[in-house]
Amino acid sequence: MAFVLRNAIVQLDGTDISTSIESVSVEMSAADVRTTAMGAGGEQHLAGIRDDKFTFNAYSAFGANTLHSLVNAKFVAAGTMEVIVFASGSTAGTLNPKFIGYCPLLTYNPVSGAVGEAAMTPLEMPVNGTITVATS
Amino acid sequence: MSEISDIREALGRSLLVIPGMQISAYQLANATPPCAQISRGPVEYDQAMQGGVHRPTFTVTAYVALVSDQGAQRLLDRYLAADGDLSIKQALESDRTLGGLVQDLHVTGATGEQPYARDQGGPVLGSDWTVEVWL
Repeated sequence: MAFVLRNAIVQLDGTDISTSIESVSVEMSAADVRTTAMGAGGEQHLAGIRDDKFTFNAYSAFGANTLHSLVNAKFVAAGTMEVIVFASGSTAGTLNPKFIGYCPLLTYNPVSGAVGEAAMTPLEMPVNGTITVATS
Repeated sequence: MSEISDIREALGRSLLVIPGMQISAYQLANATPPCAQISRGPVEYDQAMQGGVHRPTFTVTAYVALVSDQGAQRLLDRYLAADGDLSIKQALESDRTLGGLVQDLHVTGATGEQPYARDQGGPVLGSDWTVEVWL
């Protein structure tokens, strides 16, 4: 059933930052390994190494207990963040799976935007390994 | 979440720095110029997950009396200035969190000089200012 995305939950290292999140994307992809041999009528594909990531667009906020304090500290320390995303509310189930990944922070862009727009913090968080999908 | 009535009142208090102006947080049936009143504009709900950000807009309408044609326009010019002692934009943005009621506010534009007819009294000159608020 279709639903409007407005109650997604985003947790970074256990801290719920959902009310700062303007958009969220859970992206699971695998490399396209071609195995086409001579005489094939069409391209042959195999799923290669996974390359999953989370992408967020968040409203910028600075100060204690904000998105910045959370992410910047981990970025400076070259650490890994636990990222958990639910599509709607924080109760996991078959209708609301939980997406979990552990992400090194390779880039951090604390402020972006044009004059007159809301200051935004885009976050692209590649996953170390793969995203796990859980229903409980 | 802050009450809209509190935000209206706070916007009105911000305008008190402009001398000689009657201020109302609500629309008046028969305002006496120079005056400013506050009304509601469009609202954009759910700008972040879990109801984290809503964006109401407010319209501040200021009127000046047309007792002298050029004098009214000169006074309105000063209200419309981006800054200065009579700048409505500067006054509204003097405390962009309204004492912590909102996350931020921005006076994004004004309609400029417009004549307004009144039910009682003669026509007045005025302008609308749009105030975007981040709740």
